[in-house]
Amino acid sequence: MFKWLHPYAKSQNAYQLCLTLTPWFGCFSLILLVVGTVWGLVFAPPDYQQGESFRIIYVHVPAAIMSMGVYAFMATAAFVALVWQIKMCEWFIVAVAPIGICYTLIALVTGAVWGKPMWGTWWQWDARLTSELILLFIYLGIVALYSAFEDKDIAGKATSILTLVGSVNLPVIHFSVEWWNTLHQGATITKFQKPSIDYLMGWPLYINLLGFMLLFAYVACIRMSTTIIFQEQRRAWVKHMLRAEGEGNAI
Amino acid sequence: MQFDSLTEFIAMGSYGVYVWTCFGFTIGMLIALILLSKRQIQQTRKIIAGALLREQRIKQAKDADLL
Repeated sequence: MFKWLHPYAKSQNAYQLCLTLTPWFGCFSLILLVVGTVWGLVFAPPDYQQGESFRIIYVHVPAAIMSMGVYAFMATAAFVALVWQIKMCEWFIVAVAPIGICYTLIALVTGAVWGKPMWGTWWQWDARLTSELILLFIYLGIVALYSAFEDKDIAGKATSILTLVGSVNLPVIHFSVEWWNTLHQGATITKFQKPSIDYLMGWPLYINLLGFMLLFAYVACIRMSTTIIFQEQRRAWVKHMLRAEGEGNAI
Repeated sequence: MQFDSLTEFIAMGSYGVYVWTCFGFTIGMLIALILLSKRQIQQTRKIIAGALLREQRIKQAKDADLL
């Protein structure tokens, strides 16, 4: 079933795939983010309680959902790396962690700025906010752990294990609003019932969410292609490619 | 159009500071992420080129010594 995936275990094929996909992901994510943001800022009706400030949802929620989504992707890669001994999965974790850090920071900061007028406070040590902050620390820990080791084989293994252990935080973040008495509101769209958000407000939210996903794919392709040529710098195909490009520039 | 004028749009019903801080921070972070990632490509290529040159120099020195 996954035979079509096998050629991409070879780093050269994976590199070429990243290069091919990058402009597509970039274009579509830009279009989606512009459409979603303009729709959300200008055309969506104001909230009956929060007025215009609710529009922060169009950056806060996609960033927060993606901060967990990126980690879930990394945890899957960590599992594959450990079970099937695939080095490229280890490289993927480290290449993509900074994107997760960026999204988590956006979620935390926009959440705090939204909380000030709505809840009267920048921060509260409630379950949802605290577990999201812990997610940020885990991301930073992953990056730090990988750079701490000289031997990148050991670094990759240790990082994969840390990523898997940290994934226990994901259900905590998601269910925190159910399990504990939190300041943060309950689930609106990420639940097994009909979304409780009005569809006129919901559509730009889904578009921005897809935009954030494709933006992740875009930056991940860029970072992964850089990581591949760095890790494989001794291979003949990398040397030939860089030499050919160097000659092209010289002419 | 939910707003009657540009002034109203920027004011965001008195929440303007909060809304525009959020969107500004988000766009700033995302642009920084993209630019840093693109810059890393150039830095990595320089590192690899440097490493290759160093290897060549070492190889040449070894050949010279053998001669």
